[in-house]
Amino acid sequence: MNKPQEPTQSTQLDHVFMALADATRRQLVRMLAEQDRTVSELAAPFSMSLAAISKHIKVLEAAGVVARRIDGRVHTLTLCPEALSESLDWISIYRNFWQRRLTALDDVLSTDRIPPLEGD
Amino acid sequence: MFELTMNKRCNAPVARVFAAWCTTDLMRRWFGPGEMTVPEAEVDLRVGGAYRVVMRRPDGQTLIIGGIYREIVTNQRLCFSWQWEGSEAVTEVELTFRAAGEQTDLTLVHREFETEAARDDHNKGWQGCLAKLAVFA
Repeated sequence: MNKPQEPTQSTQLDHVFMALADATRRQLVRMLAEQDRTVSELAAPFSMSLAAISKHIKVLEAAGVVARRIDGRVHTLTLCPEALSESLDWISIYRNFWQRRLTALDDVLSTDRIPPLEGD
Repeated sequence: MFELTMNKRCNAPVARVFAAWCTTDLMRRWFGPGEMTVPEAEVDLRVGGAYRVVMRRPDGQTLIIGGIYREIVTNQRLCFSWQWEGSEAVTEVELTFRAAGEQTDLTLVHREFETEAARDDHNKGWQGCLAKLAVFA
């Protein structure tokens, strides 16, 4: 394709958005927006296992939405609001997501009307 | 409930735009824009049938979306559920295709249904985030 590549930031945004597409993870972000919390503090209000909550936290970490501080055996999570600045709510997250895909869709439709069949 | 509506005029006839949404070899070419790729796409195009699309970032991390077809009217309407692998949240996507000469008007509606409690929480929570952002900025 003769289009310039989008910056990596956009694919990072997809990760942020995927992380926030889940209600439990949004709840964790809300709790961290109030103050830094330990893993067990974060897990306390939920009826799921610590392991399940840890998994959710890892998704948020991978997206750069939260960061972990380790003090001996205590793991404290903190919110990284800069990762959220482009995508504060569900609507803007998905608007960005779909905008980029609809543009790519139109590019594919416009550039070659008869696509070669790739072996699937 | 959150709802997002987007309109796009596509530079292709309606049959081709519709096909781009439910033919794997076409989907793979636009569902991972920019630096992303789509190594796998599966479509079982019938009501109750499933789809699954794997998007891969340049660093190898993958995001997987999947769902069930709710309504299929060839070249007119395509409705499906939308669920990220690893997430319990299910949202709904509704596509409408309308011919505009040799072009196509595509409307995409994406909805998230949530309980009232979750919505109230959501509003409170994001105000906290915004406050923190304001400090950050």
